[in-house]
Amino acid sequence: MNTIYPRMFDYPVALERTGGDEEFLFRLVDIYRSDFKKRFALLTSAVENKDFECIHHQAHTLKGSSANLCLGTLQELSLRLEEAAERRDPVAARALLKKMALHFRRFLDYCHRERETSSPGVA
Amino acid sequence: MIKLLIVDDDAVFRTLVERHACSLDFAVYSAENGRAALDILQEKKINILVLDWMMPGMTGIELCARIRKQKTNEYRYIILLTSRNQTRDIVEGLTAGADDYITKPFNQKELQARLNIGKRIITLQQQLMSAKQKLHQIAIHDNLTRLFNRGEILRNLEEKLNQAKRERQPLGVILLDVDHFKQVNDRYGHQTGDSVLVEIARRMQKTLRPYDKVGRYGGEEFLIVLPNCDRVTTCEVGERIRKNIGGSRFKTREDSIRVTISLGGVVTDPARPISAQELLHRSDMALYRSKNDGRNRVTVYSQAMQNRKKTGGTHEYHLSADV
Repeated sequence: MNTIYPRMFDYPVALERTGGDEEFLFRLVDIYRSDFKKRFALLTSAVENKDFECIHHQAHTLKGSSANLCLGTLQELSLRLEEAAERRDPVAARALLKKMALHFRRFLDYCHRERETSSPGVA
Repeated sequence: MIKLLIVDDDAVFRTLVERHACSLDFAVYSAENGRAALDILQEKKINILVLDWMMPGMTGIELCARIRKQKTNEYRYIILLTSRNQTRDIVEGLTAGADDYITKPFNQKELQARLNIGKRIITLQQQLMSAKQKLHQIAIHDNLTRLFNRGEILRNLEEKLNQAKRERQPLGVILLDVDHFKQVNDRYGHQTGDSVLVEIARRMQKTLRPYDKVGRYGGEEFLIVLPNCDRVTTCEVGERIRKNIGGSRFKTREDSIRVTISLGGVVTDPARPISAQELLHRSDMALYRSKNDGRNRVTVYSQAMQNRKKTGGTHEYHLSADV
């Protein structure tokens, strides 16, 4: 897993953060998934309404939670979205949201596959 | 158990910190914003807080400053979590009242080490508070009788007198002296004398209401403060104490002794406020009268007593004497 998608999900480091507890790591992934969906809906609405303060805040939180779970790509996209909000750039914000949605879907698919076939971390 | 509150709008982060804190035997609470955190702080005695810097509504810095403004006896140790790692940000966080900070994403071992520092500080602070409390108790109590000492009963008198003035209520004060106490000491020794004083203190406390205050005023003198007591009640209380002490003998190692007391009472008139010093002077006059009139009695001060003193009259003012 780590060797194939190190930027998407740095599993060994994430596992280390949970003290080696894989079950707990998956619990965090579930929390992240549900939190992401909620925040993504808020972001979509904020981009439409050009509510840059809200975009900035939600992007900042997603940046933190992505970093905690070692989701490098989503962390970086969140950072760029935060910066787009600071520049008050709706075009960039919209484009970044699309990318985030895509990478989030990839991450979920990946987790789903890994859970069904074997334990995560086994590449 | 030390109580820890995590405040962060990121659910992943809250769950992660909660996990590490639980492994260190903290009782963990969590809130997703500053408002919810303040509610928890009102209900629970939180010892350590882990605050995220950037939160909607109220930032961690603002929350930190608000917590520091609250007056509590117990110290709250605050760790600020931030992805900001510039010196000026760290200084701003510490200036707002944080004790420590951790940068995000955090290292598990570092977080645990810093939480343990917080635990150590809180434990030390609790020990300090406990020692301070014990010292305070020692400072305000008489070592022998465990009643309030002179300083504390006089402070209490001032406090209750001010309260009585505010509420326009009467305040009763009784000064009490053990009759012929020197003879007890001379005949039975000071140890017996001390045990007599301890027993007198015990019997007095048993007689008084929970909100009445009594203290050792001098060697064998005691001062009693009776909130909301008019002249009749003050006299009744004095009588009960006199009977409880003089009514049954005191058992000592060698013998059983009969001990009597003389009491001088005074009651404030809500319409005419007077000073604590004047109250003490008047109760002393009444006590002096009890002594002069044969001891083992209660005398309550009256204005006539003052007038007679000035003119040299010899009227009786005592209210009881059953010798």
